[in-house]
Amino acid sequence: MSDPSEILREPWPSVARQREGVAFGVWIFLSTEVLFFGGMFLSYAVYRTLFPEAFRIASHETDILYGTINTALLLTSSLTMTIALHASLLGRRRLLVLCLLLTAALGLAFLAVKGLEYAEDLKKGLLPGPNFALEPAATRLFFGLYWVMTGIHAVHLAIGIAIAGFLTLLLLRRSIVPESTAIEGASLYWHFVDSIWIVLFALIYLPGRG
Amino acid sequence: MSEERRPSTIGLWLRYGSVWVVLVALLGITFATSYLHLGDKSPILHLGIAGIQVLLVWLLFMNLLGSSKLIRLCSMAGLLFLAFMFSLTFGDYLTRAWHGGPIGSCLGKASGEHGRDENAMSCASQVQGRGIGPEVRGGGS
Repeated sequence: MSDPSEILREPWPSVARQREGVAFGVWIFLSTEVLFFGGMFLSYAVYRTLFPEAFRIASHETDILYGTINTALLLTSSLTMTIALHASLLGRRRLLVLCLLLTAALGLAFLAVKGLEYAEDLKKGLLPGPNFALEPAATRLFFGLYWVMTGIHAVHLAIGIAIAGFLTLLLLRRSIVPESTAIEGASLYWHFVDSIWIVLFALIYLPGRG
Repeated sequence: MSEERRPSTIGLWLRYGSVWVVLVALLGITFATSYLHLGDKSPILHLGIAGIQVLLVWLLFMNLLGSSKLIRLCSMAGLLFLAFMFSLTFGDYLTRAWHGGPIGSCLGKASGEHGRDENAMSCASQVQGRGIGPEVRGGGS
């Protein structure tokens, strides 16, 4: 177990307060992320209410296999990130590093599958623009939201992967101790990105198949 | 966290692995039921399952269950705003047909979801043309 003085940072009077402060600060940030994605979810909800048939037609064109695989990858990455957090709390350096690397790897796998899916979507003419393949016109609304929401989500995921990678580097270089409170911050962010995808999956891939 | 009972590695994987099993099972259910003919009820089922999955991630993986009241309150802040934003926005859109005016006629079952280009565009143009007056009608303006 590491000495508390190695974990404690300014301005915190105790490690317990620091942990609480990290969780509090990250949750405030996650609340802003809820607002950020919430605007796009609201747009989706309004347009789906206004154009239900077009949204059914459009979402039928999404590849549910890619979507399901990606959801499974992210759910598994949340598991490995949780184990990483508990490894951190228990001071288990090797388990922590292993789980951070697994989490990052699963995130990269998600991005790879997403890239494959984007390539197929482009081939099918699903990018709103002059060569858009679907009718009626409101299907463009669905796909506009699809590209932006999944794209922004992918950017968030990439940031999470970078954070996990950076923390791994710091741990390997012994610049931080395993009990560092930064692990909890990274873990909360990662789970949040996963939970955004869980809702995205239900909105984008599931409608229009029945 | 309890100092006396330090969970083993296997114990951690079992405890959180069982949450993962439930999450993946829910994923399987939501995938399979997407092919059922549920009509208007399907978003309720699928968003409901998604909601349960998010709840599991937030309560167990993000450990809201084991967190202080402060953290729990903080986590609800964004959701509270979403509740305001959604209810006010839909309060607008869903009541546009209140007096059967031209804007309202493009919403819901009254308009009929024809799937034809003209109707889609006329609905959008009616929504955009708010305030122009009763001259804005279906079939293009």
